[in-house]
Amino acid sequence: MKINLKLYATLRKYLPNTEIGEAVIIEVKQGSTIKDIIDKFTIEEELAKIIFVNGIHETLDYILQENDLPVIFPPIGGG
Amino acid sequence: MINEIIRINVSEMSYTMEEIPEKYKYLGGRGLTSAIVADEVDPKTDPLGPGNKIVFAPGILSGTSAPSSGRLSVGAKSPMTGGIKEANAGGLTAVRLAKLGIKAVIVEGFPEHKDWYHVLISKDKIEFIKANEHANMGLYELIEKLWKKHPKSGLCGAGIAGQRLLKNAGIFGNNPENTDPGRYAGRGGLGAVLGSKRIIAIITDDTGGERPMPVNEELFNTGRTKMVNALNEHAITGGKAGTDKGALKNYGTNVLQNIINEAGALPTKNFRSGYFEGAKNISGEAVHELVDETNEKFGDKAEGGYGHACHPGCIIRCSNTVPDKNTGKAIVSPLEYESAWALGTNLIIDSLEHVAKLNRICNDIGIDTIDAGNALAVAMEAGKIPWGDGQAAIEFMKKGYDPNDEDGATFMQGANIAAKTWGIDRVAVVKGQALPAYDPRPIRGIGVTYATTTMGADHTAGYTIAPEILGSAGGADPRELNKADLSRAFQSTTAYVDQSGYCLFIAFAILDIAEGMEGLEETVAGFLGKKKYDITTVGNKILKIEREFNKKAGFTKDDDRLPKFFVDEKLPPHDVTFDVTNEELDAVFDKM
Ligand code: SF4
Repeated sequence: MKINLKLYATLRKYLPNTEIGEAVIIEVKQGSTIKDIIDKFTIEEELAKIIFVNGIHETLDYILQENDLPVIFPPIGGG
Repeated sequence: MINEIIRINVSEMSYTMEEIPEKYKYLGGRGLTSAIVADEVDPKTDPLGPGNKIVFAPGILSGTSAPSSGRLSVGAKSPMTGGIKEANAGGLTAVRLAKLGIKAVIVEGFPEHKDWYHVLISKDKIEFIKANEHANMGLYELIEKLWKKHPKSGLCGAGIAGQRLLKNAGIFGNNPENTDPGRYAGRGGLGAVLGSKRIIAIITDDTGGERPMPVNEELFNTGRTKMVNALNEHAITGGKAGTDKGALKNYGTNVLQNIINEAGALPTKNFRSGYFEGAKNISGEAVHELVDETNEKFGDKAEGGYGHACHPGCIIRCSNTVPDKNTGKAIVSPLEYESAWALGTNLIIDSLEHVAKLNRICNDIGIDTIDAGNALAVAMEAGKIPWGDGQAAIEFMKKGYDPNDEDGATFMQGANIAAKTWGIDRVAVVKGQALPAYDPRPIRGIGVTYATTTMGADHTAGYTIAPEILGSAGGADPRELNKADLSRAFQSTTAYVDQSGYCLFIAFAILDIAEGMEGLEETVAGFLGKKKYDITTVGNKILKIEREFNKKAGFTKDDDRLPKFFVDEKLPPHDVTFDVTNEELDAVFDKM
């Protein structure tokens, strides 16, 4: 199935040649989790600190559905 | 070196230096400004009249070797909210004052003359310098002129807006390189209070001063090491600019633009939506990439940057400089998240260049960016500027330079007064002060802080975004409605941090790393020579003093509410309203 993935800040390097905030369509197996995606991109677990799926906070064990939009941020802060 | 309080009396154009009284001995920063304002200013007084005083105080640790501790607190009765106000900033002044042994500068009285003055503070000496030729001058030009005469000095004061007593006037501050007056204690109109005293700039020259030494060096040093380690170790405050580690050093606070957008909580078009398609173009990532590009293209001549310190001794270094893409020259420093949001997203302007130029005009003219952006949104509601038109917004803002332009003057009074003047109902303010860059409908804790803090809508007063969005301290569900305890705890810790002189951004590290939290208390206690200096006890005490002042000024529970549209109107894309009950809001202070 297809999902849309966005990576921000220091994680952008894992999606080279994309614009900031560009959603990239990727093909994953049914039943895949966010953890499976970060493993696929070899992103260290501690760098996938903040995860939204369709705008709602989720965790690494979230099971993806067709057309989901997972968005992953490293640890960030500001104010 | 003694610990002194300096009183500058503008009625008589005189000053006194007194040793700090016993009751203030363990205070600094916000703790000291709020205590002095509460003790000496009648809560009912006219903020721009003879009864008000404006107080400048370095934090307890400012000037010491504690990392990121050089923040300056400025306090007075606020012309914008009518309540007590503390605004704080980096820059050079806090460190300079601290090295001269000065704990606070109080400007009081009311001048009969119509001249403008600077106040020059140096070792054992205060001078009034007549400055009529500097009135109504842009602040970029002013700080350059002042540094020629007083190199390396800390500069802070009132710009054009403050001199005209307009209520969105901030207190500017020069950055360590003196290239920008953008280190603002911006909120609440404190620049107008200084303007009412006919003072433009306070110039602090610390020649001959020395680093303040802790009473208990051992405890201080233990705490200092813990704090340095926590800040360096943590992924948000640590890392290195130009590498793939370190969020603040690489992207600055504006790294929040994309994440708050993805959370559906980025206030867009005067709080009509929580998502802005153009946010990415003005985000911290966009600034980072523009800096890298222009550095490559213009080499030595490039002035853009990130990982910059707003005051000597900051190791977090979240500050940046936005370069012009065609020349590599600096447009503005810093461009903060709140400013990029207020002058960009909330006006649906997505040109980084326009946003940076709008911020530069704010810095030049002497106004707070958050209220300025909200006031521009009101001008767009009123049809005075087309939505999303950055160039038109720049032209509109320039009206502020013309003392005879009514729209310019109205807009510089801040969003609340602009809305009343132009007959617009939709204005996002609490206690007369405009909301910052997080919509409270999807993120309830920050709404509780906006509503209840004595400061008027202010995210820094109790930054629950850290757990609610950024996963700090184990995280908190942003939609959860019972947020009184969370907001109170953050408001209290913040008051303590604002008194210490540390930058609030140490919070990210100390919330996650227990040693860092110990380091906070140990450096403060060690410096003061106390065994303990408990965070919650001291923080709550400051909050109570401020709350009491506001009560006497006439504030009631009805002032601790968000504008009605947040309760009534659903925010897309998640279609949520602000559902926190009034009882929960009242519990913040009732249960303290
Ligand atoms: S973290 Fe940023 S705002 Fe805080 S003191 Fe350092 S440079 Fe200034």
